[in-house]
Amino acid sequence: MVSSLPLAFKGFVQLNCHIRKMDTVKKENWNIIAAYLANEELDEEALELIGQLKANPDEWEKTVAFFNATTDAARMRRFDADKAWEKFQTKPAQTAKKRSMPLYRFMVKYAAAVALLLVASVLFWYFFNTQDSITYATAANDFSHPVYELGDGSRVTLNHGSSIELSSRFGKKIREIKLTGEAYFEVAPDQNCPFIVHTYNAEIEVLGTAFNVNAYSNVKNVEVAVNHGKVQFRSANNDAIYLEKGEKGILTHDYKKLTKMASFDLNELAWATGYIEFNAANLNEVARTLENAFNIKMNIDEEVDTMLMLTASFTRQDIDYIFEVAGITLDLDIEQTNRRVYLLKNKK
Amino acid sequence: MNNNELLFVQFLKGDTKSFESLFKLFYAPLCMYAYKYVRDYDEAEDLVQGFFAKIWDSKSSISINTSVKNYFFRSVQNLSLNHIKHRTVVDQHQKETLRSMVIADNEQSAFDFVLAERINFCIDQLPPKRREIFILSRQHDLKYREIADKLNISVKTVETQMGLALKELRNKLSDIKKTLIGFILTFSI
Repeated sequence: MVSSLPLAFKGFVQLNCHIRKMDTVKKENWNIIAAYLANEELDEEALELIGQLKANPDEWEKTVAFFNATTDAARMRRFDADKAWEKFQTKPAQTAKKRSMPLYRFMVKYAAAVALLLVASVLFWYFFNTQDSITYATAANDFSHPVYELGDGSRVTLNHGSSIELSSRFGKKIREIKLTGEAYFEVAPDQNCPFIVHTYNAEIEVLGTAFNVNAYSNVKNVEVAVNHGKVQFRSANNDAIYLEKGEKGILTHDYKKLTKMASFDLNELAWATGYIEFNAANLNEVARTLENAFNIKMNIDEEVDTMLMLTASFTRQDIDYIFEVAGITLDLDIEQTNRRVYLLKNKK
Repeated sequence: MNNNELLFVQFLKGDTKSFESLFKLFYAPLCMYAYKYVRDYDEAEDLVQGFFAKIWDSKSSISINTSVKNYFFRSVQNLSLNHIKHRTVVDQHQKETLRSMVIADNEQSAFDFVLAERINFCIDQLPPKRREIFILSRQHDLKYREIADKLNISVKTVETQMGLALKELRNKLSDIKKTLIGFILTFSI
């Protein structure tokens, strides 16, 4: 009867039988097999069944191989390629740094060219010598916050979607940098070699300090926050203010108003400094600070009482650690609902 | 030339995006492969990070005469073996397992990560509670007792759910086998 079937159909019948044969293990047997292979203790009866199954070595070997494959697959989930890539990305930055070093090795420190500085205007932005300049840039989705050493002992931490360009003459008489986006500068003091950051519509001059410049585009405000030291913040129409430690200057996007604020929240710099301090901060403030510091999105479940207060400080801790502390302190669960999205909710 | 080879050639020409793609594609499987030798999750990750750093740094001088997949897995295997050799304490048992693993690998191909990814795809389709139990057992190596305590259920329930999970995975995989026969032939990573 079978031999009269077309060949192709015959093949199908065999394949089907084969698959059905793989499924000879009964439902409750899987419980015992799983427990046995997971090294759980078994009773007499269960062990007897395992003995019977082992009596068919081919089939048993397949079952074990299948079980091991599921274990391998599950364990492979421990390795997070995205996180690993972020970690890895700091390494190419280091090689780039090495290559740029020789440029500064023979750097000679001349007296400050004060005259040049006074003439230097916002027009500089357009005349920046891009030929031999060095550029460091981060992609819009690069949240690794790479740190670049500029050869004069200064360091720049770049936020996502930002770039800095060092003029070819960087470090000779003057240290000039063009910035788009947001960067945190720690400037090595050098009285004879002014450090100037140019943005679309402003420039910031310093003599040894740490400060943050947020200047993502020419349609947004430029914000300069000073962590320590002193800087001069100049606008396109030559307004200027001095900013000292703990002060912040804001230049509105129409270039018109340059204002000074006597204080700012140091947590604004957390993305670069890694330092976060909560002083009886309510949940909304905590969420906003962490969003800014780690480039994440935090949602708060409606049932959660947002007047909960947190007092804690963190120095260069990762987000998981901070969540753990915050979760225990406030008795909340923090669940990752998506890449970079977290949900705060009450403990069940 | 398949996709990996293409990405690799572009990477050698200096394209960072291609390198990123290769990194993300192979990172977890290579870590898992290294883990099979070094038996330590952190060390496995360090080894694989080191491997990618090495090929990144020497991209101007690399030439490979095998598939990218083979080259990656073979390199990580060598790094893992060297790593173990340099450990001060290696017990006899571990040496024995190693020897048998190397032999087995030379006969088969490297760790079957296409299968592993297919299994993970099926794990994600398990009912949530069953999935959680399975993950706690297989990924996090918890004992049934620990899982039961953690989830506030009985050991018996864990046992049943584990059995059901395995059965379901087995069925799903043989279903996939049926539909994927043609697919696997063209899609070999």
